Amino acid sequence: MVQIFKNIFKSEKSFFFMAPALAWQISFCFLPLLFVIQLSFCTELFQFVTLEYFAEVFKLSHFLVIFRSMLLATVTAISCLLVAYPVAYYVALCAPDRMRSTLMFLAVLPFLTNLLVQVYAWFFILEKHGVINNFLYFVGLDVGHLLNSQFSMYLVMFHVYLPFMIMPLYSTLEKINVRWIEASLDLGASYFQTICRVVLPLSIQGVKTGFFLVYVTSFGEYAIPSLIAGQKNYFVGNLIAEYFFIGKDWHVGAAFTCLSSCVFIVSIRGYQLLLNKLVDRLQRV
Amino acid sequence: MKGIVLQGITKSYGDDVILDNLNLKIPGGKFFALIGPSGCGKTTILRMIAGLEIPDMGSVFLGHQDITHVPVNKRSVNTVFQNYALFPHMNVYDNIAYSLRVRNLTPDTIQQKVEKVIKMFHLESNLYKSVKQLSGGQQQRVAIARAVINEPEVLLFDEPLAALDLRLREKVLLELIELQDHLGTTFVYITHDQTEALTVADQMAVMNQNGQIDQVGTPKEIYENPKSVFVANFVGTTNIIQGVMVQHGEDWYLDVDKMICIAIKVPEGVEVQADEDACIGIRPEKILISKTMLQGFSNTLSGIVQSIVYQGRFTQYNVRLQNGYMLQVFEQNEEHFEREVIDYDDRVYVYWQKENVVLLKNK
Repeated sequence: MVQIFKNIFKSEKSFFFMAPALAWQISFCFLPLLFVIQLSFCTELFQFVTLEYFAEVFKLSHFLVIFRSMLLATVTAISCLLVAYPVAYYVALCAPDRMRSTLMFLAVLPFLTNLLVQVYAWFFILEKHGVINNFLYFVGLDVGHLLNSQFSMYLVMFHVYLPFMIMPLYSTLEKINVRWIEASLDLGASYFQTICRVVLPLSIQGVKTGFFLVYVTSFGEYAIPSLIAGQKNYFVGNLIAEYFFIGKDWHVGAAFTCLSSCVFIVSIRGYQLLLNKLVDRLQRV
Repeated sequence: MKGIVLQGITKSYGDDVILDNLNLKIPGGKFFALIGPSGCGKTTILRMIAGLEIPDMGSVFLGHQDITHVPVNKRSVNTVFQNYALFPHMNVYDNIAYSLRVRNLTPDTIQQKVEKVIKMFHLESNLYKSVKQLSGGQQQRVAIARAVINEPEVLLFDEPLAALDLRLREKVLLELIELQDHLGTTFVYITHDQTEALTVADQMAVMNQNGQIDQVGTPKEIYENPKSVFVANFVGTTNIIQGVMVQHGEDWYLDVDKMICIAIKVPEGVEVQADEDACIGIRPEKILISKTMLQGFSNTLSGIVQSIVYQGRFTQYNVRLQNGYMLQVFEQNEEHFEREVIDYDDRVYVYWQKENVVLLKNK
């Protein structure tokens, strides 16, 4: 961060180019954030510091909500990663050149569709008399309601966030030279060893970018869970919205926002270490 | 050391037939060079030996063992790739140790073997540098070290010198010859550069654009006795002259446009007929050029100097013969004695012996 600021002021040219982005960032991210932080500590604007709002949000039920959001984000990020990696690998390294852009377009098509359109499309597939249930009924299975279940919530989350994972993965995998893979095989490594020791370390930036892109955005997600899985599931997003828009208790809402953000930042750091360790371990396969 | 035999290899990509019923025997423990123009399928052959491609038809043998369907990581064959394909996320040591590590050898054995190879390739000072920091020549050493550490039966080189400058190239070629002597491994070296092949090879094969092997032999055989017009043209520079065979008594001549007559020595076992179209090749350095009439040559022609190109160690004269053919002549610039000066538009005589004329298959 400091480095970025140093770079900005190093020359007039870079300042000129960076200024709009910087102004945007300060006025729509840093200043509101500062405002939220002061809301959670002060009873009046930047006055009378108190911890009573935090005391109110330090409850097990609130941590459960944060935990549920983390679980949702984790499951979404991992399931997207597991599916997106082979897809991106195929498109970037195996598919014929002329097919590549078409395949990428198909893969990120959901990204170009409105979120609500996607969610309602899933309604038709998942509802009681929808495509899946009709098919299951036809083969003699009756699974009851698919909507309003955890499974369909994860399914839709997975589908909506998949493009966010495929794009960064594709852009790093695309830079991998097929000769490196061939050299690894030629030197006696199995396909699995080649993936672990050569392809994965060289695409780790894409894995990290994709993972955190999905993790961060799906952490605050509440539209999909409440539409698909019903109102009974509370996530961080729901709770914040409730404090600010329904309960009108901005101070407690701000305190909860700060709390969940802190837990969230710690969890990101944790996943970073975990991912590094995993890649290290896999390189010794 | 085991050799390699390719038997009836056919390979096509879609409708594009790259190799059609190709047979090639690569002797074991030798430095074998395969040369051909770009896109003739020589890299495909290399990749088949490595196991990176599988032929549509035919078999690949390593020694007496059919390895056509043995997967690439189970073959005792290693490749030095064009542009080296070093792993960019590893340092020199890790690159070299890679094949030992994936085999799960003990750290002690790995250490020993890597140290031995590092000494052999003088890489001690760059051991923990990233491969991106190395120069082209150093990268190439690492690539070779990485391939030989396994002690493979066959080592494949896919145009390994393409990325090096001329001076370094000459040095590396000599080092490769030394390495082959030292290891005794079968080396298969692929290039489109005929000088490289002539320098390093014990045996070489020349491929033409259609993916067929035109000739196999020692570099000397190939250079001195090319069998086809293609080989004569591809390996070195040569004058190719077309004409009609005529016989006077026991001797054969080539009649060119009814203007010039060139004496030819027909090698034993070769059948020729009078009035048959034929092609001959004569190397420019085997032709003597002079303004004075000399005796003792079986061929003497006269012509006019059209251009002179000074090439450092030799001078190239382009002499227009009576029938308009442009004959190239190389003259060594040895300068032991004062020589006659040949200039543009001078009338000169060109001489050569009929033993140096090669009868070529015209394809």
